[in-house]
Amino acid sequence: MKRLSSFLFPAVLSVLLASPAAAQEELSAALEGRRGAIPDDPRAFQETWLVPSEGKAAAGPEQTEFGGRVRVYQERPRERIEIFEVEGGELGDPVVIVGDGTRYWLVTPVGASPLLETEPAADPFVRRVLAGPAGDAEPHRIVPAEGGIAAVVLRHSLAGEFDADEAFALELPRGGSGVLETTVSSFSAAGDPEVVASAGARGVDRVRTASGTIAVTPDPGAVAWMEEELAVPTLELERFRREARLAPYDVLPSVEQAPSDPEAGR
Amino acid sequence: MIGRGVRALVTALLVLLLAAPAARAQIFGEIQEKVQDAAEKVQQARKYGAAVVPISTGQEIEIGRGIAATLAGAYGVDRDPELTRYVNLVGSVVASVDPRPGIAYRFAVLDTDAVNAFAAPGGYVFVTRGALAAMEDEATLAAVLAHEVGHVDARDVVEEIQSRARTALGIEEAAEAVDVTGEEYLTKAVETGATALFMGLSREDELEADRFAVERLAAVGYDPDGLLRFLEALEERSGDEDVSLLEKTHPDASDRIDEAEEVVEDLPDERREGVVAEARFRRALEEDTATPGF
Repeated sequence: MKRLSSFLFPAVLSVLLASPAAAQEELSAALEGRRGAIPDDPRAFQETWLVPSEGKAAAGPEQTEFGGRVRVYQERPRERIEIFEVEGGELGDPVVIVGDGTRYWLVTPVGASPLLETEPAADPFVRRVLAGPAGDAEPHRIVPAEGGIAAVVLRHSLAGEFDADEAFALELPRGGSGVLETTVSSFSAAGDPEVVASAGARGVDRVRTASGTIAVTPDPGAVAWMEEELAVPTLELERFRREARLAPYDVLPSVEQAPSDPEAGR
Repeated sequence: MIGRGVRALVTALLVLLLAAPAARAQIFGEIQEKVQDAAEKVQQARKYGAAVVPISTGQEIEIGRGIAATLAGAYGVDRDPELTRYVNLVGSVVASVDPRPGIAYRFAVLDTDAVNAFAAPGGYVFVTRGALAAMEDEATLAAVLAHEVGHVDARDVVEEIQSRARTALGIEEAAEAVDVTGEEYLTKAVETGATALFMGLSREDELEADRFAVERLAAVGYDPDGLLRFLEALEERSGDEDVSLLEKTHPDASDRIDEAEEVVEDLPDERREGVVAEARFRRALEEDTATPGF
């Protein structure tokens, strides 16, 4: 026991002392690699990250679940990375990182800070995302881990143009973090309502229809029920998509065909 | 309203015919001037319509809640939890591609055999039991819900309310008189919006919503022919009592099919096929019939 503790104690101490510097060097190298891999032409893509349902490594892709979504906008040598990680079953606020061609910054509502000096730089999910690849990649790839897989990543191109000035600014754009001018290929949860359930919806008691005027007794209770009960949690929606292999899960290998609904496919 | 207009026109024409040539020319001039003036005002009102009667997203949601309460009251809402959950999942798939900021979509089933679907502003979407019974797969349900989401995304009902408000008030008066936060305006807006849904939106709005639906199905991975299957089912049942309101308020199913087919043909090859999910749809509806409603 004494021998074990005399061996373990210095080892743990050295890991504790050496880790931050080593980790920072590792991230710094990863960011350097990213910068070099940014393609010449402007482009944007989105990644869906599936992470182990339990523990740090999954035995196979079937043991993974939706863990987050990443949007990347690139125009050599600059890029913007928006990382939305699942927190408590819902997508959290994005971690926004902008590379200006020389260094990477964490951009928040209060300003920009050098990424390596910030807390998110130590977040395992953020670090895994930043490890890339930043350039071309397969639509479906596996990130290995000791004893299995750390993540399954599904990549889709984002159609449409983006405003480079807004994308690579070291401040958050007004009205949200998204910068892409497009209507397709972005799969996010429904927006939060600007107005929440309040005094009850007011309807009208007579309505003209194409078949004549009808009398109505408005049902504000039904509207309150819709507002309170019918929101779909993000994880449930992602499971529903994946079960039928709807986008973005359409690039998953067919071996993962919906186990509970073999007819749900194409 | 029309009778009064016709009487005034006949009187004006009589006066014109009976008047001396010089007086006739003067009257003609005056009429021409008034017509020109009115045309300019209409043009101005169209140009500045949304600015004259602005409706924010928050106000849109408030109006939408009133219209949704009216729709729910007119037909009754089926509160079966499993069926409603399923319809919300399918609806959320088609609604969650670049959602309008501030809008949270909710989908409910109206308890009627009439085949129809409605979208109140602010994201309150309804599909009827009759419409569900006319479908055979999930891609078709997704198509109908995507069509309704298209109306909300394009703010079709909101624009109809704005258009009627500025027509009723005139451009200058509207700018001064409309307090969109006021109780009276809200009630009027709800009434106008509900009437627009029950009387029908414009042909252009409907065809645009069809186009939106096909493109949205393709974007999320559903079979884009889902809309065509629904329109073909409507065409087959043309003349049925259960489809009569939908027929009166929408362009002919055959025209819609022609237009939708063109949109499908314009899709990239890799998007022309997609998930149909017939088994999952049937299972969701069968579970519903096995569960007594409440």
